[in-house]
Amino acid sequence: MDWDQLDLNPRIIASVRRVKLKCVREALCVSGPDLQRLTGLSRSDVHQLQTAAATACRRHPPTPAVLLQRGYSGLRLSVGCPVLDQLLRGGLPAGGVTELSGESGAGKTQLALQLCLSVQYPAQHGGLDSGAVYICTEDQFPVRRLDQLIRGQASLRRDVPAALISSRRFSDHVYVEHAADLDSLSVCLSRRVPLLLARQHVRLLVVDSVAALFRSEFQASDWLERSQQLISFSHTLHTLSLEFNTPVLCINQVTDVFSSDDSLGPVSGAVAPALGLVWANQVMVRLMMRRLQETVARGDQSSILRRLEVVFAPHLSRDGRDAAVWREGVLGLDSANNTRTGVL
Amino acid sequence: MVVLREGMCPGLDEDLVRDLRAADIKTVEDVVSSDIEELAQRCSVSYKALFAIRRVLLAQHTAFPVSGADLYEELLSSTAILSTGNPSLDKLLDSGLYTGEITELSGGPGSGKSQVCFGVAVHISYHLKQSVIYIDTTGGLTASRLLQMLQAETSNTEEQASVGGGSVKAVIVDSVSAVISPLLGGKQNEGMSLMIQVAGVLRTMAKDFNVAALVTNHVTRSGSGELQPGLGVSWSHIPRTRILLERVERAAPVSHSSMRSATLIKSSRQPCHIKEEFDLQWWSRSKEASSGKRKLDETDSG
Repeated sequence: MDWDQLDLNPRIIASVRRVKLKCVREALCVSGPDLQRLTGLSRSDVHQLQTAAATACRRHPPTPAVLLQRGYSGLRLSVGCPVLDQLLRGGLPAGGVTELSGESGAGKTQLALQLCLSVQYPAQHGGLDSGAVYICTEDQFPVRRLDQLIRGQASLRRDVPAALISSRRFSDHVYVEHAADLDSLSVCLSRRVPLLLARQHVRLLVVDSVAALFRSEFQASDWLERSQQLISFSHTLHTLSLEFNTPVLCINQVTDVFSSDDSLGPVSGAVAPALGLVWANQVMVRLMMRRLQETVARGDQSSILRRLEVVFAPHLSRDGRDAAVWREGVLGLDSANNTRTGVL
Repeated sequence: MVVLREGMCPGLDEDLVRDLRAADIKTVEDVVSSDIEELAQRCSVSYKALFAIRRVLLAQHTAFPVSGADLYEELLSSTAILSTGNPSLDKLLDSGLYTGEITELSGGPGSGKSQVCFGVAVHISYHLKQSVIYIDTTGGLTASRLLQMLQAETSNTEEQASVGGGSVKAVIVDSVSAVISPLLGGKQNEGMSLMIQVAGVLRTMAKDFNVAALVTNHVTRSGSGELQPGLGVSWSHIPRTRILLERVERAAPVSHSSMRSATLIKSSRQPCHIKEEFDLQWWSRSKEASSGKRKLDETDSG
């Protein structure tokens, strides 16, 4: 942001240039008396300077709440299943960080892959008409499963016309990145991902998983540095999400919950998402996927029953839906057309 | 800082201002805080003249002492108390949010801070008919939730569309820690000064414009494992009243309880550590049962 673009007295602009305040934002980070001392301007001049800088940096003026609903903030990314979309009231919100946690084998990666495909549909079918970035930190990216999901899109998304599905090359628009440590992850997030977002090639960012890098690289005594790294990582995610109006999905692991009374050992069956309070404070929507004991059958396929629950979200009530993982993807169960077979 | 100019007071002419500037005395503060004898020798000005100038400048620029009674009268006439809409929360806050002050609401993730802020905003704009500025830093503000809460108040869409309209009486910042905590700690040293700057701006705004400021904060674990509000000790001096929100853990089988408990951890008007439990769904309960205006009893006189 250049100083010339501001509507200010040239004397003020000249004195600002003399102190080498390169961009307008820097002037806002310095307090009023400091600016006075640096530039030698009077208090009213500094006040004019700060007002002009603030107006220039502000993206848009405050909107009355009445207009909010029709604007950009109501954008949601559909999951691809009507039952799960109903749980999430439309899908993932576009302006914040959503976390999906669960035990291994619960189906988190399946849901993330399904989202990478559903983002590519146009807006009237719940997508965002763009691609997805998938950052793997744990295992290799499951390419074969993605291919299987692509082949099954026609039977999963019956609401979309078949011509649209067959004409789209899904795998061209999923960008995969493997990050083995925190440094490569931060390089990816600060350089490559903003480039893809700015050129509008992608409109979804998936990190699978957050916990892997932060749990493995720090010892117990390094908790302070881990917290700082975690906060700066989530700050980067937030900035990207809000600046480009993109949903961000972070997959997290779980830890056992130890009971607070004297019995040693974890509370049976109780797990909590990993990374503690520091990470939980940064997350806007927290979803949990659990594996249940029953199986469910449909046609020639059978799957173990899962449950997707909303732990907290500012726009959702705490609720859950049963779901199962089929060949074509993750589908929520309504009680109508599925038979539950007995306990495993 | 007030710069010295000629004509500010009798005896302060252009030559004297020039001599003082040469001795690096440029503002009133510099004159008042420097040693008069040494200054008189350096500028070759008479001690008496400089002393008289200093006395006049002090009288012109010091703050007025105000009597406590006048201050009290002024506060009585300018401060308003905004009810939050929830009687338990009002009891904790000594009947509501006071204008001219900052109130802080802290709690862990999912404890209901944003929901309380929504409820307060809807209550102030619908019942008290005043405008609210809601600054959202987390991306959690959804218009559909506000609409849902408003629809629980009234099903008349015209009334819904005409909320607010008065002057701005409340500023809600949700949350202040989301933008400040990434700047604190580590090698950055601007974070603390930016935090205090934001606090100063909030305070002056609350006082000058007579608005009530409600901010939310996250929590961290203290050394002994308890929950405490975030942003450290420096921030803890900024809000006048602080409330900690927690989920109520009961042994009941229903795990989706909307009950929360609020603890008063800092207040200048009430004893601390009093606890109140309330239902988060209070702001969205159906109001049809309690409709009907109260009619004034008309008693026949005579």
